[in-house]
Amino acid sequence: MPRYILRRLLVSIPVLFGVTLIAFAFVRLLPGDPAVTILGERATPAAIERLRTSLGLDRPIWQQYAEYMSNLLQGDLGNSTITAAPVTKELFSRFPATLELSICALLIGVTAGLWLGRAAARRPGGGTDGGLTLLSLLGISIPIFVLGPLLQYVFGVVLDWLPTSGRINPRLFVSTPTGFLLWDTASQGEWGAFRDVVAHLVLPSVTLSMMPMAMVARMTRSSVIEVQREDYVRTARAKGVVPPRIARRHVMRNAWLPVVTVIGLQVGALLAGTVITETVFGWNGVGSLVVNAINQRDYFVVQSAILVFAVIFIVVNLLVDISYALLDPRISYR
Amino acid sequence: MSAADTTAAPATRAPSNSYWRLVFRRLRRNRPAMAGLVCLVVVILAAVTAPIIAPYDPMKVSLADAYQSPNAAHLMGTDKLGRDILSRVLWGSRNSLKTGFFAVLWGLAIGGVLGSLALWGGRIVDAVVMRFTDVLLAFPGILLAIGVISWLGRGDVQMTLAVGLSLAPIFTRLLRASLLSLQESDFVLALRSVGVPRRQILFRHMLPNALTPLIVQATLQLGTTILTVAGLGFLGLGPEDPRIPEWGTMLIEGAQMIQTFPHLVLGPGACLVAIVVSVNLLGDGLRDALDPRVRR
Amino acid sequence: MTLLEVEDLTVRIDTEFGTVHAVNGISLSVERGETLAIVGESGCGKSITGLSLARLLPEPAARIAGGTIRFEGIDLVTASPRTLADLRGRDVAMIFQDPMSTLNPVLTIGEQMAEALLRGNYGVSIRPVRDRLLELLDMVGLPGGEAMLRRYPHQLSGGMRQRVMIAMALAQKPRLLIADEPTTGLDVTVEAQILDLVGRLTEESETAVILITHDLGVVAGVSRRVAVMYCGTVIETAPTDTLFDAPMHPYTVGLLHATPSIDADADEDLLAIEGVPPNQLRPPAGCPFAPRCAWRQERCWVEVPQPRAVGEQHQVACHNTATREEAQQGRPARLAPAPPPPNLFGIGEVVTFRGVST
Repeated sequence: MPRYILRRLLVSIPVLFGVTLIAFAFVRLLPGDPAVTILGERATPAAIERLRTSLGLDRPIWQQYAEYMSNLLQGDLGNSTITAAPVTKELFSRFPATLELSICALLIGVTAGLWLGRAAARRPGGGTDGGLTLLSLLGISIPIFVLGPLLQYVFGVVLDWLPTSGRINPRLFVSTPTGFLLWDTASQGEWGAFRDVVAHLVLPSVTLSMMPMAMVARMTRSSVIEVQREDYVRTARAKGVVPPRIARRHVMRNAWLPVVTVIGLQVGALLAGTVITETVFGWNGVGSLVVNAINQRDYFVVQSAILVFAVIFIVVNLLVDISYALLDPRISYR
Repeated sequence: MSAADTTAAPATRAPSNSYWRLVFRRLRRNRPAMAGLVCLVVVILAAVTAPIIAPYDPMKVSLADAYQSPNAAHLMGTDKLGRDILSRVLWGSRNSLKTGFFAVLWGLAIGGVLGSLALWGGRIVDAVVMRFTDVLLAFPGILLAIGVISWLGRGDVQMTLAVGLSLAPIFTRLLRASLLSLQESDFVLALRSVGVPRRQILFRHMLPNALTPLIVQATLQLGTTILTVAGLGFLGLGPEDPRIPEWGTMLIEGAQMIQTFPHLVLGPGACLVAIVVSVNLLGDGLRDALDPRVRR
Repeated sequence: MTLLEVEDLTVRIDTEFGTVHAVNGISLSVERGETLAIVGESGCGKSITGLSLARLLPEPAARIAGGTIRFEGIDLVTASPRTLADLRGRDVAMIFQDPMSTLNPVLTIGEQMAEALLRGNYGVSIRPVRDRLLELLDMVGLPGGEAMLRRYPHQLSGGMRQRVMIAMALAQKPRLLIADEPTTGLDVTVEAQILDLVGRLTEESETAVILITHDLGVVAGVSRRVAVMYCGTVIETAPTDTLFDAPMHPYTVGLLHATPSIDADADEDLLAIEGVPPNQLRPPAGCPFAPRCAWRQERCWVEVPQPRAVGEQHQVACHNTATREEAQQGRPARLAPAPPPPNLFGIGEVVTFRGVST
């Protein structure tokens, strides 16, 4: 098992390396003079010269990359060309918002998806199955930028149950040391504010959870149906094992594997989905930072944010692969 | 046992006429898939004939008619400049379908080249190509396309290239995996043992089999791609000229005005979802029809 | 009282292409501690019969369409799921073909064996039954003790896995063991060991055995009585010696002549049975073996032969049974051509179906 984990870790090193290379190339290989493109036509020649030096554009490309990597490892991702603030600081201040949203969405999506998938697999081809299949198809087909506004309209305007924008009512003054508002309000015992934060979270996280929910439900359904047909499930029945235990120990234990893979991949879709969700719901996270940066041509911010998303995705999938070894004893021996 | 064995044959033999006839028969019996196909045909027809059937000029501004709710004159209402939303949706579908279709083709092309390279270029090429796809896949979903567009600039062609590139690694891996498993399959071994030439094995027996999963995947990806294209438009990366009707761009305006004018989202949103649902229905149906193993 | 009494059992399987008539009204009986072999070629319905006896058919696609299965007086066809779950493992146990796929790959041998003992009424730990598990390992001749309990199925050979299956099946000393091709896919030496093991253990615990196999060679050493199945029906039941000496159904005759035996002359020809079994989606009107039968008469095409007693414990379902000499020759004495079918349409046609392996 340790050897398997080590091997998996080694495989992800070249990928991490490649990801930084692409992020690096993204800025350095901008068409024309990168310094001019980044700062815009109206920048002063002095500013352009300064940027050119700090990017090291006069040096060979491999030296530039080495420099980029060494800065990266020290946590220096450059400065925003709009606010002049360090990109790292900007990312850090926005990150908790995105993480809070993503984790909520993932929890909702995976829990609901597993439940729906198992419900549908109980009687394949039956009425419940048909209905749920249609529902998950809809979940896959409805984009965030359609579902989000619709939910805003129904729950925010027509029913007026939930706030449609932001993370917390701006008139509530709570200190936010960690940036995770659920934690911050709960740890200070501000339960009124906590409820407000939860209310703000509902619509965006439900919107964002739709895709993972549908995908997890589909995979759970087909995986459970497949495992139910396996010979060892028949063996368990022949032994007289009671049905609930067969479902838990024999079916689900084996059905998990493909489902876990899908969850890992859906984390990627989720990260990408935050970009649009945050735009729709006025959520001050990394996603909306990226969108602003694109529109303002703030290349360093775009570069760094995309890099961060990619690294998270790689790490999550590494964890997924390691969890395989825990779920399936055959893997560590391969 | 023997009965079950003989029927597995169509999947392992090179697809023949009767194989495809069987596939189509199964597809025809799959009602959701047929509904999807019919719906898709209607959408394509509508897109092609948009210049004829669209009731208004999609770019014609008429400020006096701004923000009309759906009514007899404007079935989906009008937007902030008084333009007819139905006409803009119809014209926009041309753009969406075209970009989506060509992006998938472009992704297939890159994927095909990279996949074959990986398989026949030797071990080092294989390793390089596979790591490259790993790297591309590490940028999830829309992010890679965002990067490429902010690099290449906005426009139809750039959009197609960007979205197609983000599809390429999926097709690369699929093609490589299926060719690899075919290469080691018993029926290819059998063909080789009776002296069928390599070229013939590849083109007559392996490629047609490997195409099956690619076709299914491409169909399913078409739905996702149309969503990605609209999503990029929604993020402000659509066509540079704001007069051009594009679904994503129309939806930004809708999302901003959702509190007061939900019809701005309802019309285009419903059409978008309908297209993607029908593409996915068709894709699922194709997969079930082509893969005998998923039958009960 | 007879341990197991099957009457007129009928099983249908729904497939994409229609309903397969997998088992067509078979009757069997098994006494306490007796071993009965069911023999037949692939697709004759013998495995489906075995699964129905333990009510383990993949319902609802496959279903019992008629008949009764009386186990110690309880009708298993109408029994409640509760009763069935109680019965399985404790009174009726089963071992299957292909020990590769019949053990759960993600649970240890110990965990799976403990389930056979406790049938789900326990937590995660196998500690409470550890001693009993070690005894069971010993019983089936698996070495390694405690370490063996912690191993996973993929770490064992096919023969060892089948021993685990046997240990699980016999853990509760059931009164009936259904063994469905237990040695198919195993080496000949391992096959002998496994058969020997099953024979010895079931004798000790006075467990009755239904041995399902396609291999007449396996039958000879193991069971005293044989039922031969063809196309979902039992066509001949006889004591093993009688069946080998003087088979009366033409299909049994064919089967015996198609089986090589060690003590036969090297130059003795093996005779294959011509043709293939009929389509079980649309069974023929008459005797299912008629299209392939050299003994057939006109009536065989139209009238299904019913089983009739022809000797001590010997039943045959045939209109024109083979004589002793014919059985030895492997062909009928009369050399006139067998009558052709009354109409050529729909007979001998082969339609395959998918997804059901019988």
